[in-house]
Amino acid sequence: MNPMLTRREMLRRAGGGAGLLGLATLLSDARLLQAGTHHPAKAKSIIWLFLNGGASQVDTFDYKPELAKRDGQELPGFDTKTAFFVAQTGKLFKSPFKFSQHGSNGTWISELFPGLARHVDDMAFMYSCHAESNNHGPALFQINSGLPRMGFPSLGSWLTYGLGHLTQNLPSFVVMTDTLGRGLPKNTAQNWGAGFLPGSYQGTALAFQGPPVRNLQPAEPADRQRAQLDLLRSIDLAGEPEFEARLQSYETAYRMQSAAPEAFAIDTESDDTKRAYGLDRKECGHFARQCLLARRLVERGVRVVQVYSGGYENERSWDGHIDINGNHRQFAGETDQPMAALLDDLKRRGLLESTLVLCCGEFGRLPVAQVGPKPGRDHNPRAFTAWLAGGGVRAGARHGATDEFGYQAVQDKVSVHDLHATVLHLLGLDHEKLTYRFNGRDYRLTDVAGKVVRPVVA
Amino acid sequence: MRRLAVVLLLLLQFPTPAADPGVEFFENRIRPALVTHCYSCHSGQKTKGGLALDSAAGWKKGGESGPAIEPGKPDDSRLIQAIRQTGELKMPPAGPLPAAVVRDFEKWIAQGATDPRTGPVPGVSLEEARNRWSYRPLPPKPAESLDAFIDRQINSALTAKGLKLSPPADPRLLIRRLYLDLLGVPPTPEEVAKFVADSSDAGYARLVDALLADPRFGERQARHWLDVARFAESGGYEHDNDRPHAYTYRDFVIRAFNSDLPFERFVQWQIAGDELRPGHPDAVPATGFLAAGLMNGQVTEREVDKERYEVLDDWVSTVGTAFLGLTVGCARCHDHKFDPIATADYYRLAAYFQPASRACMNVYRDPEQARKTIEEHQRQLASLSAKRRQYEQAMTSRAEQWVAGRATPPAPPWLTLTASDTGFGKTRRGLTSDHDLTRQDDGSYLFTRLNGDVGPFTLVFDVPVAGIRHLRIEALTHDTLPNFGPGLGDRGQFNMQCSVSYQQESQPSQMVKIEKAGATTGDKPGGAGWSVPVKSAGKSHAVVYRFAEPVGASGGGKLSVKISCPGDSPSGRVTIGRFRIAVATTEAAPEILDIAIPAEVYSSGAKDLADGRMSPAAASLFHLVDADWRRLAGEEQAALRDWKRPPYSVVFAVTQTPLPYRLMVQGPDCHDTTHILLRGDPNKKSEVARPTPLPLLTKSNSPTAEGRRADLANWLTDEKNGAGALVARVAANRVWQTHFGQGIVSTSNDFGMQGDSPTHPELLDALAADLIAHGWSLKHLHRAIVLSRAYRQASEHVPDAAKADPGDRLYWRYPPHRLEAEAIRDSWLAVSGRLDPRMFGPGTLDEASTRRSIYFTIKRSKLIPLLAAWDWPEALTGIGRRPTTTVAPQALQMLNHPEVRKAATAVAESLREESDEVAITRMFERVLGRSPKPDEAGAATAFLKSADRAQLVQTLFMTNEFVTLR
Repeated sequence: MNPMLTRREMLRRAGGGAGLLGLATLLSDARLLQAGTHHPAKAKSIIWLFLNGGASQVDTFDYKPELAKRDGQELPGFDTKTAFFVAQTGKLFKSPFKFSQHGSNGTWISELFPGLARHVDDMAFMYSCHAESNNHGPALFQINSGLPRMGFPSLGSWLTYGLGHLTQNLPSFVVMTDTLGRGLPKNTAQNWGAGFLPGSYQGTALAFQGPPVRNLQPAEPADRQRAQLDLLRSIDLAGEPEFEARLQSYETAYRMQSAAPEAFAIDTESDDTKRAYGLDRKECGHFARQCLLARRLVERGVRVVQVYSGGYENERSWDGHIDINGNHRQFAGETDQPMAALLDDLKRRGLLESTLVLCCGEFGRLPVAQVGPKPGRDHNPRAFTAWLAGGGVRAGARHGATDEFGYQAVQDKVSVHDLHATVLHLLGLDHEKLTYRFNGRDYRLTDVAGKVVRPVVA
Repeated sequence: MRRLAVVLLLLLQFPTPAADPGVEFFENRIRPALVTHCYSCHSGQKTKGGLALDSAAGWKKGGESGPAIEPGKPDDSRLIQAIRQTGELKMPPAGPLPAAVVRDFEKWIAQGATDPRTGPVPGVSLEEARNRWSYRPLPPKPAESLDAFIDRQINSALTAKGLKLSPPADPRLLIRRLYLDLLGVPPTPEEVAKFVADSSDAGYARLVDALLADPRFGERQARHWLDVARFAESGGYEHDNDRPHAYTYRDFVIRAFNSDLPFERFVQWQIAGDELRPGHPDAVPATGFLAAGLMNGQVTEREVDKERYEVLDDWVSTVGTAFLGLTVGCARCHDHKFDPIATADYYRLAAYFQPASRACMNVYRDPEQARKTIEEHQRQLASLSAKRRQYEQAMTSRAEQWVAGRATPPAPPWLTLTASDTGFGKTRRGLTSDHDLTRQDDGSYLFTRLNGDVGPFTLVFDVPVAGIRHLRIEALTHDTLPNFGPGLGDRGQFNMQCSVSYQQESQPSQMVKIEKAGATTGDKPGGAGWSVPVKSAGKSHAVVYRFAEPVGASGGGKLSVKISCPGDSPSGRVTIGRFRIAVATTEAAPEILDIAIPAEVYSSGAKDLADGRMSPAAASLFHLVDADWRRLAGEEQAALRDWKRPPYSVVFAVTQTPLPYRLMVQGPDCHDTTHILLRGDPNKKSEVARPTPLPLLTKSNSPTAEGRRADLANWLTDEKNGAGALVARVAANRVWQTHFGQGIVSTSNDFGMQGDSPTHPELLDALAADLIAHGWSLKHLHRAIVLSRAYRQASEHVPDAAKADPGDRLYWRYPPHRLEAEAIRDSWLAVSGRLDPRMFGPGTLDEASTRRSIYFTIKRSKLIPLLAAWDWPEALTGIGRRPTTTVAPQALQMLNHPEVRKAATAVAESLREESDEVAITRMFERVLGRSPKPDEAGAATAFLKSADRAQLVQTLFMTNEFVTLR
């Protein structure tokens, strides 16, 4: 039997405590290395570029000429309760951004993303994604954990639980958030929580200042810690698997102290690379550092890297309630060059084959204006665009569609469960088999739903 | 093979429903009709005419007259004949169904009668289920002592496998085990030495009794229960609102374990302490069990109903797993797949909890003493008032003279106004608020009901006096307000904006420019806003506004005072709770807290005085000029204001209240009707759910406990007719698990069909029966278990035994297991001598705190990293048993965390005067409870040549020996 599945099986029983494990260590670093998949897959890692606050599909990737034509008219069949600020909904509002066609199949991309536009032949777009909640908190829970409620393991936790570790020297699920003081995304650390999975599957959010990972800074010089570890081995209990696992965890920790800082040392990259990402530009330097670090991390075996663009809400994120023009220009300006450079860099190093890149937010935005001095767009869970690139993705795929205004997904709709099922599939996991028993029930990331979106799979 | 089975089970468990159009039709048209029109007689235990219509199997089998439905043949189906009401059998008895519904049934059957309902339980009827080990009645308690019975059961199971108990554990190890297990901290070297000198059975029994009586016992045991209760002190979700009073539940649990509160009551109070013992300082905070769950703090209008059912689900599911060991929550969207729990059962259980909601309630710590203090205060007020009235009597003739002489009226004091009208505007969301603002005898206004947002409200006063220059708003305390108010905020805080307009008869209304002149909250003058912040709450306060121009120079007219409080804010409600309004006409305002009389008394008194006519009002004016009277009235007012309330706590509770706890919700905060939902969807409401206990655990011929939460609580602990036997089994299993690291039933939250079977079923029954027989005393169980030989045996590995029973489920040794996060941290703090023993009260998020870990504040978005690394629960759902992981972040913490190093340094410091040899011995004794072996001493001595002593101590903290209960 596949050793990884044995491990997962054990964990599942342990969560509900079927008890066959008795006293054995339920989970240890060594066991986590026994990785495996349900089916062969190219992608081994995922980088999730998260447009926090909800990017507007009709201003970015989902081109709607009819919206421009009917600018200022009523949106037929509009349910105003879709919006958060119900009393401020206005008329159809054409995108302030110019669209043009790119790549071999003439994909429409707005002027916001000149860099990404160069890569459209490598990307697969899903135009028909939809979520359930019109409120950031629940929507963030859903996009991260499948359900618009708190309490469930995040996608990154499920992936590391399912796949195990590729390296012992770095945390396997790393999260990066805004470094410009604009706050954490809503729900904060709960977005990358492990829910009912063992706590060690939760995401590690990197600190902006000081050592990026907690307790990584050695308290003593290396030789003295080495002596501690040697002494430990000579006086500690031994002979039982869990005791050995603990001793082993000290060796791993000892190595991490030197290996992890090396991974975080992006200054060792060449000037050309740094310039390509835009590290030198004030506008996007912060996100550029994070994209570059994301590449270094997957290169060193990190399974899941999630990078949040933007902070808490409103003008601090993609949440363009007021002035969609100014808001999206700013955030696209922060992200376009770094994201494009990341795709270039991954490709050049042959890492794009083994890395899945996913880009989306928690929901989309309305094609009608949110009324104000400068028009904005309110939340819209009925439609948003997600794009994928890299390992196992059918490059150039264009899947699903929204209605003529981009108001709601109508054709080949992709639910969040479908999106998750697809991500798991691309990483070699079957969303119906990846389960964990908790309080009497076998839970899945995709609850009781989800279908792999085959057309975007190579 | 096993894996395949699991996958198959999964497929069975999660059919993908909506894909099939037949299923769609059934769900949209047929199921609702069945639920509404047929279930009351043909579902669950009620099967009139032997016919069940709540599963496909039910109508296939049919009733006494054969199958009810012939798929594809509506005309041949008895059900159709009955609902067409053309034959002898006419259904439903209440009258014919709408023709459209009949057509739906015909169409459904014509198309094959697709029915996805697999029935309450495939293959398990209620009767069969009731024979299962977990649901059977309990046998009588064992005739012998419980510890002897435990050993007999353990031994016989071991013998059957050719195994036997290990020899008794070394006394040093045993006392360490007992301390860590019962108290969560290791013994001191002195305590070890004392026990080693007298480790006889009697000496051990004395030690056990001493530790069970130690207050640290409650701190250790409470933590186990808090896992089950998914206890945290914030609401989770986006805003993760703090719950500053939630610690009162944690304190209740500690006190309950220490005082050995009968488990029966422990259960009841957590469900309905507010109903069973109103005002009780333990029973009310006990409902914090319900309050502890997640609560979305920002809910949009379209999601209000959905969130409301989420809250109910948290309550039903947690009550299910915590007390019944049943995954009742699985029946939310479909009948339970494995246990005989129907969806309707789930919602009927949920219905017990409506219309309860979270609330911040005041509870006197010593209600009896408080009652005396309050009565004494009331007597004092009455006597002061009588004294004043006597004085008024005595001065009647002087007053008459004064009035007859047509004296000049005194300058008016504060003049209280009574509103002729109150108006409530639309809320921020354009909703009308749902409220009662009630005038009190003292002229104040109190919110006696407030459900949802509240818009700005306006009080309109007919003004009986001329030339108003000042407005005073008093914000007053009241028993019903959180922290006694004066606001409705969770700590009695509020904030408001005030605006004033004046309308002379037939003139247009005019805004009055006002400016804050002063307030008892110490505000700087200026502006129209006022707040009583948290630090000033719990007491009455007042603010004075000065009018830019006096209004109503000619008297009469209407003065409107508009108060706007944000009905919701990210941190909760901040509405004023009780207030009183007065005005003054003098150029300089009276003292802010000076006495007031009703404005109409002043004006009619002045009129009478001008006429020289004696009247009570005229007499009142005379009182105002009398210095002695003013002194007496002032004393009366001061007694009311300066009274020191008896000690109380504000409790984060769940109760039925007209003033529910509120966050940012675009809708109401409490609801009074619970429906049965189809597929868990609040948009698909079926019949109203009436509170009813689970049929599975209710004797069919016993009176059912329909009604309030108190009834549910009583049903839960009723071992004859209700769920008591199961509750006792689940509780006994949890106690066992605390001692051995594993339960007799390893799935301690799931005693249902999917749960694990007990390793020692008779033992589990005996523990449960003995628990009940000893008045539900948990300490009785703890004592019996730790006195058993099974508990006191060695924990060494025995290779042959391990081969026969790898998991040690039969207890051929004491099963070693890693300590929990709290016990590890408390242990290194304890041996360092830095552990702060103060019990109870609000917690902290500061990792540098030296109190026990149970006193950390549990904020869901900011879990304490020191503990989180060691599998501290995320407090989202109740958990029966923590997972145990062994990963590098734990090692990094032990190597590098400043708090660990502080503890190690403190131990080293305390041994500064000692030689290396002595210091090494002391360190081993303090940290590990034993002396170093010669080779260990040698290695440690060598280590100290290149490292300091603190590092040596730290290395001892790092050992398996230190973090393992064995």
